Amino acid sequence: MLCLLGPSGCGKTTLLRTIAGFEKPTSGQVWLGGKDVTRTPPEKRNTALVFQNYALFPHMSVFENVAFGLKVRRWPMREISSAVKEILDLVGLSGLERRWVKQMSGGQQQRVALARALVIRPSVLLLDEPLSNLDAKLRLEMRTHIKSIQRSLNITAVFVTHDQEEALTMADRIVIMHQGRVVQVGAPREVYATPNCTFVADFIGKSNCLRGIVARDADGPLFIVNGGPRVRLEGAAVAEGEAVLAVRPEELRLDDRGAASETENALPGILMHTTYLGEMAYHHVRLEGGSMLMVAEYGKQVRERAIDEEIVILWPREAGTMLRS
Amino acid sequence: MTLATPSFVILGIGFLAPLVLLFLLSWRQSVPGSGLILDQWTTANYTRLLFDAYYFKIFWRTFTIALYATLLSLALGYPIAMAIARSKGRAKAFLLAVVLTPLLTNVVARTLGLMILLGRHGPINNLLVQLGLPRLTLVPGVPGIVIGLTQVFMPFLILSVSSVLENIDPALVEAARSLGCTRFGAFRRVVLPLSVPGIVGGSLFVFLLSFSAFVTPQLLGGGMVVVMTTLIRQQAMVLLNWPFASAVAIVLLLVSIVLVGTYTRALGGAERRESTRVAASSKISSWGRAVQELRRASYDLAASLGRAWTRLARYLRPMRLALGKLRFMVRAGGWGGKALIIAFILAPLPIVIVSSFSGSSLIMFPPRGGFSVRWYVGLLSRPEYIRSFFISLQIAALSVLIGVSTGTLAALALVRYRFPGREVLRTLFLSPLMLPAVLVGLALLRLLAMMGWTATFRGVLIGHLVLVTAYVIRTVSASLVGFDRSLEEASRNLGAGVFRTFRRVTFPLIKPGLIVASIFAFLVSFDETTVSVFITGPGTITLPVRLFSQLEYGLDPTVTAISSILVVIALLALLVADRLLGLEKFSTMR
Repeated sequence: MLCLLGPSGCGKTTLLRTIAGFEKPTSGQVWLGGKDVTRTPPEKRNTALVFQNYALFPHMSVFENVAFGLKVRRWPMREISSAVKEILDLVGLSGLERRWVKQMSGGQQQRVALARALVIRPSVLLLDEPLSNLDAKLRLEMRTHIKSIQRSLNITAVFVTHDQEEALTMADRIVIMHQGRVVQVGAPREVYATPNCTFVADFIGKSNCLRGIVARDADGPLFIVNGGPRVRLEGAAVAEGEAVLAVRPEELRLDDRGAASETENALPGILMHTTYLGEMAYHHVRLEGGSMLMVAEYGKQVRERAIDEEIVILWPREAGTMLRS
Repeated sequence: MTLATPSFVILGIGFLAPLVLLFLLSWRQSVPGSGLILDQWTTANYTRLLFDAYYFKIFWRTFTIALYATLLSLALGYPIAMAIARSKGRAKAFLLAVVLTPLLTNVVARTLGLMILLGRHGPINNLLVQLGLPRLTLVPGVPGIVIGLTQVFMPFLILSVSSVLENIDPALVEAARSLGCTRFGAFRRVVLPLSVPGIVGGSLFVFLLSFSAFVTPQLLGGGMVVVMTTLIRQQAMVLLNWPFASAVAIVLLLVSIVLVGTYTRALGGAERRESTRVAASSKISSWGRAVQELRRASYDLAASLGRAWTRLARYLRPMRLALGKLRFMVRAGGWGGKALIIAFILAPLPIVIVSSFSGSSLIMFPPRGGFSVRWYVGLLSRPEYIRSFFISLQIAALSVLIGVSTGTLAALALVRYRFPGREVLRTLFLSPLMLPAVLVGLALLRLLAMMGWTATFRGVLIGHLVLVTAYVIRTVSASLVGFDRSLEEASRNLGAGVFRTFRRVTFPLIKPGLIVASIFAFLVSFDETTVSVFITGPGTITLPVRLFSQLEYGLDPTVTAISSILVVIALLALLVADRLLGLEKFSTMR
């Protein structure tokens, strides 16, 4: 399961439609299963596209919708029936064959669309933001559902979304796109842990991006944040000069006992405000020199703190990713 | 309710009372050839019409002519509807203009263009001769009538089908293709079945209009092809057998009512089904269910046709492969075909205008004898034409004035207030548009004769007002439906009185609708022919009627000049409408 992830307008749907054959690339090629299909019309590619609005045929029943691709392929009626029945079982819609698609809920329509695409055994299943029209609860349910169906049929799938959480939970590999370009490709953990640019760092999860310069002193490499604060780093082998340091809010802690260990940086700052979210909270701290840092606290750690008071942030030396600015 | 009263008076005098009168008359006995009507009731008129082989043949002829015109409209109109639905921006505006222009120009002028085009020495026959083929007698005759009706009414079908096609989600076609359908397969399995409601609606409408058309069959049939409408005129005006003419008219009315009923159900079915589904799926009315079944049956029919095609295609496969190689040529041919159809829709207008500048006294196309304006100059020495022109202008101006003011009030009543019988009243107001104009003319003539108003100016005005009011009500209603009433409430809340609110808020907002309505009203009245043929007399002949009778008795090049004037006036009105509002809006209000 490959996921195309990016903000709206970044070209992910265009890329998907190019794979399906609805857009012609001005340059480059499309290869499917070891074959160059750049000039193949959509109907000969054996890709099945699940549309954002499902695009179910309103003049056909559920059965007819699902059977459509097989009828076009001139399967014998008996085989069509059994194949449709099988796939409807799989998506959990058995017994609704005679229904009209307009009489179904959004979630059911989504399943019909999925079944219609899967039944032709496509060489690649294409999904264009398939969950964006569902309500929040159903969306969570369908994530695992689609994932498990895709696993059980052992089909390659390309999935377009702008929802990073969806991408992280469903994808085996994520392709992050920005302004028409692929910026990073990798497994979910990989892109989360080691973003390769500020865009990725900011787009997936929350990141603090600090501008500054990399320097070196007697004890080793050092990052000097614009305005003064110094962060000592370990393992980050970056050339000296201007850079951006990205660090996740959950990698930082607030110091309550006034004791930084050997492996931690201690950065003084002023707590500006706290965003309380129930199971967690974000503390927004202004460092010396004006840079802002967000620090996350979870569960029982979450405590009420006085605003405008001085506070110390603990920053483990191995945390943070150095990015070229 | 009181708001609708003025319009209702017009409708009552001009339409309802005459209709009742006509119905009663159709059961009376007449003395053949004398014009006398006896005070005795009889069913003879109806039995004669229904069981006499001669009259049945006329009925059957009318039916087949309308059927052929419908099928031809469908075959030629569908590709154009597709082109409109697919195009955007300027291309769409152009195509809409092409389709709308003929609808808004005078039918007699257009028919004249067709007479020249299809005539024995017209361009089509000349082309045939050049190709070494024999000349065809298209006009006068049934083929000419079918072609003429197609030319005149096809735009309605195009608008009906294209509006349905535009609402088909393009993703459906892509879905079909991603599931393995070819371009053509996606059309056949998805687009075509989904456009069935538009096809059914548009076809019914074209059939209805063709069945009750009067001007086109009369002129293109050269008076030799008798259809229902021309039979009515013949019986009433020539043989003076009023009861029998009334009986024919009543039968025509019944056929129309059945067709209109089916039409509104067919088109209303989709929305109704949608709304009932939202309300409660269990409470679908039996009628809704029937419509659903009908639609399902039509989809099934489309599917089985598709299967037959697939079977056939298997045998034709080698041919299709060969065709595939010629795809480029086929596509070019497709565009060529569409261009030809568009040319066919437009052709009569330029033909008439070009012919009017001919120097020869024979109407020919392309014209001979060089460029000349002699027929326009000649008009000046024909006082009867000038008089008719001013009569038409006066009647049109008065119709706009009275029709728009009363019609707007009626539209307000119909849209704003709920009162018992509202739906019935709406249907009554709009019915003069849907029912055969011959019927309206015949009935009104009878009433006017009884009132001693035959051939008077006010008589003609009443006839025009009936039609104009119906158009105004429909157009203004359309612009009122989308009106947000909280705007008026806001105005009242801010301290404006009822009249100030109307003047400062309501009126400015419905003004576009009123402008469209006024332009329509003017064109409807100025171009009105069929009703006027019945109710005008020596002193009150309007320009289209003068033109019509001239064409009935022979072609004199003067007619091309008058027709051109009529066409140009319509085009100017269209141009004004486009400048003021844009064509897109115009087409949805039509």
